[in-house]
Amino acid sequence: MSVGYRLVQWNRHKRVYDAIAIGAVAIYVGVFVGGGLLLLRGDRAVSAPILAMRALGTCAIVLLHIVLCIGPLARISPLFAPLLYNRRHLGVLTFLVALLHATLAIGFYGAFGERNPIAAVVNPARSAPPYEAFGFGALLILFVMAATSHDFWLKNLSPRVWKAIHLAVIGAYALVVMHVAWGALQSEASPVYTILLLAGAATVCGLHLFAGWRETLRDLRGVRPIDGWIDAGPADAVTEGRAAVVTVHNGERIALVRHEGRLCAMSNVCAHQGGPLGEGRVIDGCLTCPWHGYQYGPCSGGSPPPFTERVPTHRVRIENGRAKIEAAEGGEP
Amino acid sequence: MSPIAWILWLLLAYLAVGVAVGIPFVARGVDRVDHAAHGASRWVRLLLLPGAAALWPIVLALWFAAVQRAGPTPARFARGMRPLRLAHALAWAVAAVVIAAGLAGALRQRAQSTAAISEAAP
Repeated sequence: MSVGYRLVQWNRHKRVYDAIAIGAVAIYVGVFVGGGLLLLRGDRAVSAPILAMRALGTCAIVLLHIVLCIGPLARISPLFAPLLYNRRHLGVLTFLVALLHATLAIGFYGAFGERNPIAAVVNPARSAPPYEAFGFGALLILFVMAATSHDFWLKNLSPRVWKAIHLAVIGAYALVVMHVAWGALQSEASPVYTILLLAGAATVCGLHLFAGWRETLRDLRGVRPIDGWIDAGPADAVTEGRAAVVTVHNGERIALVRHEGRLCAMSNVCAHQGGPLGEGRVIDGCLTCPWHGYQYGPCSGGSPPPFTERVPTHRVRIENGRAKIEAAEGGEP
Repeated sequence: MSPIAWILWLLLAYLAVGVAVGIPFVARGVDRVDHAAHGASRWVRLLLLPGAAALWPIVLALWFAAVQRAGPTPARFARGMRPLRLAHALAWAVAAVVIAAGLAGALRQRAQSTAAISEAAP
């Protein structure tokens, strides 16, 4: 992040991740449209543009559900952390698929330029909630998120502001659910789509509420410093090359890491996207963030050259077999 | 003109200003704001343009701050994540209620429409 900017920070893993995601989208849309054209005939026949519109719309919704489930799943179990690695690309792909859906819908219902596209998006004469406006609102939010997904924005807005802006995805999700519920579901006779939408909303909201509840409980159980030092538990509980997360009463979290037999402490918040450093491990002599692989010297808190990222460090001392972390930041142990 | 059409025109005006601010920002401002952007290719700069157009008030503030201190934005630690965690949990709690209410309303509306069509059918 700190050494120059590239168009896309691709590596082998990200290329594989992206290839799988794009391939899956292509197969989904192809099967949806092809299957629809082959199976729906006679009175049930649906035109290719409408099938493509539905395929892209449902694909964008499925992608949005996946993107939104990755975060809480990774917080509940580290097994899902690899999915988090390239979530931003999945988010941008979601926006692009949704944009194609919207372009096709506006073009099709606006008779491809015969009518005012604004009138095609919103129909104020109708009494029911304007489901097109819900979809348009969600698309705008997804646009802002995709447009600010580059590391330049993450670094210069600061992870905290960037994440605050990206909280808007919650609003986008609510708007997408309303878009479908007040749009497609109103004329859909089959209960399948209704059940899928209800199950999707229950899963996404349930996972986030459960993960949020766990995090809040963890914050409430934070340790209070005594004489400026935090009791982090038995010193030998942290094994070589691993770290433990210590929550302080004010909600801040500290990663206690053991490297070459020595205990060191640093902020648990990765300078990149705020990932939980204490859930990572030491690789090549550096504590490595489990989210995107950003690395920090266990005792210096600095990234290895040429990178310049840094996280605050804390002094550590061992007292009667227990690790104590100085609450104030700064200095090596 | 309907209120929604007004909103759309305002949005368009906002984006037009955003593009007007964004073009000089990606051409010159990014180098001022962030030294790591020195030597960034034109494709990288082009990729930053939609974000600059979308967040142009923040972009102007960043640019102005960089000019004032005659240097790039200093590194900031990602402290104070607890309020963000709380905001995240609260936002999902509110969203769950809104989504449940919206879904219930939509399903009731569909049931009423289906009943009306059935009654009207010969």
